[in-house]
Amino acid sequence: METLKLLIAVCIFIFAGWNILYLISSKKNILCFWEKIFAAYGLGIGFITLEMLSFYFLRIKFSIGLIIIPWVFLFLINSVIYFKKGGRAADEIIPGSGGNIVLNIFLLSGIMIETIYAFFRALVKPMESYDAVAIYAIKAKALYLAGSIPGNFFTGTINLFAHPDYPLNIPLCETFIYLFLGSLNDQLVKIIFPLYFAGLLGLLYFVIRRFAGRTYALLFTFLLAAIPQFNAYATNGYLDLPLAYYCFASAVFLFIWFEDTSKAGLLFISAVMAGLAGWTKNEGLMYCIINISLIAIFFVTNRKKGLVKRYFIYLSSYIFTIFAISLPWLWIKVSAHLVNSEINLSNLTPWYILSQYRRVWPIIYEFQKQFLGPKKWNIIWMIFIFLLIVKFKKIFSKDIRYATLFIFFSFGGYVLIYMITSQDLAWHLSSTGSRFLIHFLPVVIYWMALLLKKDLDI
Amino acid sequence: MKTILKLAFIVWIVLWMIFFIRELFLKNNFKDYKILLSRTLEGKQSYVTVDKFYELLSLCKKNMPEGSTYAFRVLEGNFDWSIYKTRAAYYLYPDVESDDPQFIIVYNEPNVMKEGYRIYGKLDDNRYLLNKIGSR
Repeated sequence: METLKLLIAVCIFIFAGWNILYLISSKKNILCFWEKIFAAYGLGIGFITLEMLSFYFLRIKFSIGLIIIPWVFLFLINSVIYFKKGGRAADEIIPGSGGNIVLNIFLLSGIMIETIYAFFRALVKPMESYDAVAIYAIKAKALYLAGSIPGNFFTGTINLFAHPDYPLNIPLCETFIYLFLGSLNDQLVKIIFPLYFAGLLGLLYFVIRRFAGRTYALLFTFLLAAIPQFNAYATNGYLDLPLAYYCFASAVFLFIWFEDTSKAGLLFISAVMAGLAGWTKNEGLMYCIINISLIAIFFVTNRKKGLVKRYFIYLSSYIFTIFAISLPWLWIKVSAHLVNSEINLSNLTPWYILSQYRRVWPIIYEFQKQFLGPKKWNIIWMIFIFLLIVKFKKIFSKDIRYATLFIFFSFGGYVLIYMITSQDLAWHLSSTGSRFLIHFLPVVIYWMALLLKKDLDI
Repeated sequence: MKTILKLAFIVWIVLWMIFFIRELFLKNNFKDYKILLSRTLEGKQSYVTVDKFYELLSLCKKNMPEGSTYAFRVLEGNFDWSIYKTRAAYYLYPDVESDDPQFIIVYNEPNVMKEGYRIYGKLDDNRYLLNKIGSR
């Protein structure tokens, strides 16, 4: 019975996300069916938890009925749109198929094994890993036991736990599942993490299928699924993989929009996903800035007379969407004085950064350790560096330059974080170095797929 | 280029298999999974918290009124106390840790007696609960 309830809870996330996507793309279908399903999962979680946060402002208690009502209402609106249009708009067409059948079966088996194993590893244990328990699950438990976000939660209770300034997307998602199950089952609740894993693999596969065949897309999806570190973080209750999901979705839909700016819905989905990245982990805000920078670069390098006004509207809408999603949490953080204990933004000055030049060596050493250590990453970073060198002339070509910049900016952003961290650098590097790389790893795989499409005719 | 990529793919597959098997068998995970699969949710929580320690936490849960304050007295020995302390805090919530606790949870350390406290519950000489006299 509990498992059935759990599956219904997951379906509610997808239902909510699907309806948001339908509303965004009701005029022009911009995603294929499966892209919508995989994007709907994370989108649904993000919006349902934002809705739960709004209960704090409205001073109302959590109830499943109240949480679901707006999504049923949105469904009715979408139904009216559907019937007014006289049916369903055609889905985005995914070209190419076939490929090497034997290789397809092998790669698909590999993906299935990794996915099933991720579900097994997540669900065989209750919450137990350090951050999962100390930072996230305990907050979810407190909110579930309170049956609401109490008025004094952000000024009192939350300070009992580690990192009170961390966003509540996943803790509130866990609370929602507890509410739905009617019990604090911290084993079943872990299903959300391998589902993010599966969602990310699904999204990666279908965005590669937009420009390549089945075998090619399966190959890169398999590469991502089979990276030990990536798979492990689908099972331990940490938020690095959910963050990777939102970062990837926001980045990849932005890259696709750069190819065809007539599909404004893609830009909107990218903005929403970026906003949800910030609502999942503080690092997500860095990715919002990266995406905004990429749009600014795109506009500067593609400026045409007559389009300036439209570009300005696009950019301000993007920033506004992120801001609207981030505002409730930022408001709470500022008003409750929830301060980050690791990063002091007042250190973000050129003089301070230059004065920390001695930190560069340990940072490089840590990245080197990660890149050359196959235990966690197989040889993905070695391939990455090899391709950077061999294909240096190509990485800034028209169709790939934004993915390249995204990766460089992500690296640069984390180096900057280490330069200004107020924690002991050795400790900070050893506790976060391998996790930060997860955040943009799916974009690295996508970048490889873009880069090698002419080299591999599979 | 094609040959290099093919070679990289073969190396990838070999390493993938090695690490997959290593993860499953060499890291003792297979043994853990076997035990975990045979347990209920509470049994699993107990397993990941160390059964002996979880028994003590269950005793505390039973005896401490909801919303109590506590502190730990633990002889750490050769185990990583910080992770077990974190799990204990998670299981005991809404009871919370305090510098001036109503209860002291003693694990792995015999003969702890603090002035103003009395033994309130006991599993054995190494696992017991002290309560501040007159606090309950």
